[in-house]
Amino acid sequence: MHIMEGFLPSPWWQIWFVLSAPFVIMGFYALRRMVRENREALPLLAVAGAFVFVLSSLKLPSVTGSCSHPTGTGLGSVLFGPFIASVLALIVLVYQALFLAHGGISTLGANLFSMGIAGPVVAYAIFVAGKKAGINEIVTIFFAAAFANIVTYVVTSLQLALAFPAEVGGIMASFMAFGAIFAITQIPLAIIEGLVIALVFKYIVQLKPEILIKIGVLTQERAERLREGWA
Amino acid sequence: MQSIDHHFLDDYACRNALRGIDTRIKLILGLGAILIAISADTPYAPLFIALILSMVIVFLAQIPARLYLALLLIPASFALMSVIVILFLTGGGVPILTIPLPWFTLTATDAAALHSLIILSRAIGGTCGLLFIALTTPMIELFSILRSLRLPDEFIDLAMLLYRSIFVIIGEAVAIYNAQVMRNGYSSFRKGIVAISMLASSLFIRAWDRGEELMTAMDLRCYDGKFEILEPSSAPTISQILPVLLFFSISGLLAFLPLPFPPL
Amino acid sequence: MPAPAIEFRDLTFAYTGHPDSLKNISFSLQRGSRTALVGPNGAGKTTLLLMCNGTLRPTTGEVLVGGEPIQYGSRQLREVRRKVGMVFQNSDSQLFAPTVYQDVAFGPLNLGLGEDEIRQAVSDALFAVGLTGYERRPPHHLSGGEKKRAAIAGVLAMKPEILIFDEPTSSLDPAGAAEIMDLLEEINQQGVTILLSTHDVELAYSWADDVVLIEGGEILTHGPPGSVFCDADLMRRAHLTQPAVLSLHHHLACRGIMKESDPPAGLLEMAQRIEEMAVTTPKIHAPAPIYLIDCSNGLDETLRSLMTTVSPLRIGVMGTTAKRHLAGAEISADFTYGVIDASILHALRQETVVIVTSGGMIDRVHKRILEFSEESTIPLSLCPVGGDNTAEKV
Repeated sequence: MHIMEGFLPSPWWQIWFVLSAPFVIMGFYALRRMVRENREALPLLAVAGAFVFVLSSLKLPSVTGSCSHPTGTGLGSVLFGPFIASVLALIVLVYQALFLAHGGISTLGANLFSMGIAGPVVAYAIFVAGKKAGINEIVTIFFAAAFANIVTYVVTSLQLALAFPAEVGGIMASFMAFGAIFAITQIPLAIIEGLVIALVFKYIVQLKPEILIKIGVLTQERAERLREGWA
Repeated sequence: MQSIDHHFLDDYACRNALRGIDTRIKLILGLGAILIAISADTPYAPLFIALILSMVIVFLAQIPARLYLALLLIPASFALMSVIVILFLTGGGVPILTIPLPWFTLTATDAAALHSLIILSRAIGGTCGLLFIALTTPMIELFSILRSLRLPDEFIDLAMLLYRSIFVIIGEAVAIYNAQVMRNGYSSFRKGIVAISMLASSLFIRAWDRGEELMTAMDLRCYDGKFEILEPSSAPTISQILPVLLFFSISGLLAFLPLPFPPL
Repeated sequence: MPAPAIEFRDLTFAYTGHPDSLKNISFSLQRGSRTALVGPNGAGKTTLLLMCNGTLRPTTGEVLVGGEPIQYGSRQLREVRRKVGMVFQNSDSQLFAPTVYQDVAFGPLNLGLGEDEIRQAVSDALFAVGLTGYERRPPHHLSGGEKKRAAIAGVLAMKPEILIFDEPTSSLDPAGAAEIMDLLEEINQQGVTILLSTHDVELAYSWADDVVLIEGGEILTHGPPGSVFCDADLMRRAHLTQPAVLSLHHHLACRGIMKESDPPAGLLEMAQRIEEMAVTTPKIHAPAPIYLIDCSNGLDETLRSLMTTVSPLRIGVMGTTAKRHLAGAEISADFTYGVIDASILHALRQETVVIVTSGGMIDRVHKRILEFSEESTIPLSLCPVGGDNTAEKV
């Protein structure tokens, strides 16, 4: 979830920029390397990023009736790794702020850290672990996407708690309170987004697995085995 | 589920009445406004900023007032939920409102209330600054500024290709979505989940195909790693700079003078 | 005899894991020609076009550009692609930059031109397609026809010798399609060889001087439009219909009203022949005059004074320069495509016509009208007016 423009006070909004910067710089290097090694990288990353943006502008069906949007950065991380995902997230976040009025510019650092770094890192870690453990990819993707969302929301709650500690109980109490109040929307959202991303992954394997094989997310044999399992 | 809106604020920016004003001036105005708003310790500056910028947006840039109000409401639920926490938790001073609940008591104090007001005003001021930039500055004018910030070329190229690709993909999204709605794809929660997953996966595949076409299209025109940047079409003039300086002076004074809040 | 612009020799091609898409293709395109590759969907037209600039590589056989076989190393391919420009069917696939200027500048920039040269190339290309002033617009704010023109500008900016179009008019409305075909004619006039694929037989018949019929990956025939489209069997095999004018001619011939041989080249010729055979005494009225205005140096008051003194007056406009001048003067034209033939048709109906054009097209107008006057023995009068022209009869 995005922290709205102007909500974080000094020195916090600056701190999150500083904390996000190293990841973004690593992302720039990863991008340069990827583009140098593979000339197809630039157009493919561009369309993947555009896809993430468009995905985030869709409204998910929700139980609570509230307006929720998928974040999509978890999927980007599974496909391209967390560093490239942070670069894509940076662009997507700026476009979300300027085109959809979601998030903000002063809060870009904070939102990047929660949505563009923490979430994708967790998604990537779960996906790699799941692959190593030989768990079905669709199940892994569900957990990767859902947990990316949860981690994003937890980090955001922490960011808010640090900026607005409680009089009684300090940061911890604040963290619990923010966590509790946003849980109502964020926990269902995480599950729904996990489901949706997992289904999306499944449909892609069914319709055009070559894409996933080409990026290196799946091997040919694995894709075939999955499809046989569903047939 | 409402239809997908494929109109972004960027479209309004491309047609707004302040289009001709130098981009750097607008950007400095917007960013400066946000900076002053979030640095202020009293609500006077942020609310002043909100007022002035709102008038500029609605009357000078000629953005429809209804749209502008709707945009201001987008972060409302976030603001509300966060402020409730801040109001009842940050404390200090005299309690003004207590709500006894089964497992604990919620207490709002006067200091917390003032604090919440300041936070809300900063948010409003900041949001007006953001909307000012979003509604008056087309993205196509900002790419040259990215280059002058010495960001890596590949990153800017990626941002430009991504920008253009968004509009192609959103068009496909609208088409698929409409086709689904016509077949009652979203008539229940469960169907909605399946429908949106199909929408997203079709979109992903089409996006990927577009990526490969893009590579072919770039090669067809002898791609050698270079992208052209659009240079600014205008330069800042005194008549643009002076009002901005005046605005900053007043809001700066309001922000950093030790004015009493609440006013006695 | 100069080398053909493009030549295919015994070419076959198959996508990996699929049966042959193209079988034994051998034909060549002459320099400066206007060739239409006609066939139904799935015939292999797009595949064949993608061979012309090295995007696809033949499984067997070779493709020669300007007499030289295409080499598939990256540097050689870049050289081929500079010479052979291609415009896709879907303009959205081809416009990838945030603004029109950046997109059109892409080709020259990546060819290594300097900044001033790039600016000039973009300006010239946008002028040629009639999009001057659109530099800062993002592509998603353009109409279908404007996008197509922007895509063409992007390729023109590279100054290609050969231009290839995949279904140039497929997503355009009739007015947009006519604009594009007029533009292609103008580009061809400047010496660029044009190859386009289409399944619109009317388009191919009226525009091309050379037609290649393709079906199921094989060339059925190759020749001038008159002979290709008259072969009803071949047309059927190619899942195509005949152009209306030819169909009409064929039916009239079957009824003994016309001769089967010597099919009419278009609507005008058909109308002439029918008139010649009209049973009633042909009314021999002198045709109305056709005025000609050269607007290379701008539009003066001649046109407006003609508009006030002559009524009805039909206005035809040819070429991007003329169209821009007319648009600037807020005068709307009656015909923008096939202007000369349409003008003759109207003149024969005693409706005065004025053709506004410039440059090389002036000669074409003179030539065509003279040709028609000689062939039909009807004395058309072409009157250049305006500037320092005094009216003179042709």
